[in-house]
Amino acid sequence: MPEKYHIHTHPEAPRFRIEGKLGIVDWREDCASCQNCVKKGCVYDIYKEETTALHEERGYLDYIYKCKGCLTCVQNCTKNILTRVVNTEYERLGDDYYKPEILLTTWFQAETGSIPVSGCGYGGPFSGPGFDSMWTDMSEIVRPTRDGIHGREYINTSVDIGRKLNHLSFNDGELDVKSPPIISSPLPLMFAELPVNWLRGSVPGILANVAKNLGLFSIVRENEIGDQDASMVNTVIPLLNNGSNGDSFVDSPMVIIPDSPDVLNTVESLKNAKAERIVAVRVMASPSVAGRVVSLVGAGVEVVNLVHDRSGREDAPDSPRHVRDVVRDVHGALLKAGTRDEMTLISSGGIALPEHMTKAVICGADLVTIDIPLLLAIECRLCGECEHGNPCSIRLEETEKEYGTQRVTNLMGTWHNQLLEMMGAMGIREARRLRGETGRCMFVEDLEKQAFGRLFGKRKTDYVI
Amino acid sequence: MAVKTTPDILVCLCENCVADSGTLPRQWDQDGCHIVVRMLPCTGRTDIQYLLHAFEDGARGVCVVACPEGDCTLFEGNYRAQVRVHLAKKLLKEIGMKENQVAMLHHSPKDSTDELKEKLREMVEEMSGL
Repeated sequence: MPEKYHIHTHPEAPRFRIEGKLGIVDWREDCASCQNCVKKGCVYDIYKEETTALHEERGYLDYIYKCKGCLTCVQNCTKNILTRVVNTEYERLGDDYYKPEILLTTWFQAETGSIPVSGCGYGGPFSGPGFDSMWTDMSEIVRPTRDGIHGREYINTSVDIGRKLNHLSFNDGELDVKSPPIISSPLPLMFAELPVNWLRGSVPGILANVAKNLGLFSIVRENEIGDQDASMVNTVIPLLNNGSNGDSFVDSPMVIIPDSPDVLNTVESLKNAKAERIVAVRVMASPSVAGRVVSLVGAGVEVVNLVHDRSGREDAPDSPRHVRDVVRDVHGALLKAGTRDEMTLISSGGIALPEHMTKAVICGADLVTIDIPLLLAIECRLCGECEHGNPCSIRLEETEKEYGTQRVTNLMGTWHNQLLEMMGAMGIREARRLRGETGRCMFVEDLEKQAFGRLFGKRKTDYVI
Repeated sequence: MAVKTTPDILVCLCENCVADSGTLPRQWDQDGCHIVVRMLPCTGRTDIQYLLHAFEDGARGVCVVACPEGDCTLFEGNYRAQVRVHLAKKLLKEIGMKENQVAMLHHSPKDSTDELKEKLREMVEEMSGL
């Protein structure tokens, strides 16, 4: 049995205080100084911490939002001087896609290296836009798993990248075909190239270092690859510019080129320069993308990188589809053409949480790329100040290499563990077999149709997906 | 050279007194001062210690922006902030600093954010001259 892939994590505290959600406003002037003040009875010691923080820290009001929201003090104060409020700074974190909850959970994972447990039931809606409208089937979770996913049970999370042969042929008992080049990633994910605003200071170096340590691949724009360490050549995937001949990257295991009218000629010239190097074609997701991918694969392209925007939407003027629908569409078209098993599909954009990675693979991607979650791991607030040319409030560019490396490693450790948990619960022992396995998930529109279709007929409003 | 992120002038802004706080810059430089805006759930959450800590860290001024009198969402937060700002002014005077280093502004969510920006600009001009 091969050795298990394991990511070693250890706690790494944040450099800056995390924005909390809730705080308390009190009218101190009206305090009656009761002997049994409710503040002394706070089970979370918020007021005790606040008093200490008030004397020792200079974090400018950050520390007033540590309340857990139990309301005990608010209800029991004899003078009614306490009011619970929501932190506006918390609500402003992130954007429409990267919601404050996603930022908080990512920070938790990067700090502790542990899977977050929400507990206390789920109080939110049961479906939402994008990946929230598909649920994985965890029915196998009841199956006895002996000593669990970290014990004797072996769940393989690695995936292959490259073209596969659809059949073998022999001549006089000898293999008559040459196997195309294939590389393997221990997780169904790659590090995507960073958005330009984050290409500063130590950030690119930290991510390259983590990719090297964990055996993952990181995509880097051609002009951003500096004098890299020889040990990183095998994990860096250059993203070539239009018209580039890629001569400087003959040792790279794979290169990515943008789609263009003469992309097939470019692929051919790159393969002629070095046949053992995998050449991937980057295609922007759009309503007609499935046809384009099928024609590229039919013409011999081995890997297609399907790119969505940051929130996982395709490029379309009206009602752009989400990753889950675009990838399902492309996957289905390739199946119909009979070429799905010969190629590798990499989906980029819209992957914010580990379950998104699993769900994208279920929809039909072989692997996904991530960028923003890696930045969140090194404490980015997604405040957008850098986009306006303002200084970064958490000085991201000054992040120490060891510290940043450990935070991102912790995040990857938890993503790996969550993938194992989900696959274990779905009864799948191999990430390669998870691809396109829609029998292991449910889509809200299908369930709604089954449950209410006979009563109410066809849905009269659009799904929010 | 390290970029300055600690404020020369700290603005404590009540979240309820601006309609579109998203458009208000969070930090900027003006007249050689670095201004940082911190949102508060209500100015009733300000404390004299918060205000004085800013001075301990080298700030030249602190400005509290509250809702107009009688318009506080929590009924009396702006009134209480006024009392605390007044007390902070008194304490600063006692230790030999200028009481104008702490200021209080009122702004209604019905007024435009540009108006608030103008008020803040004027206030920063005044404080940077101290």
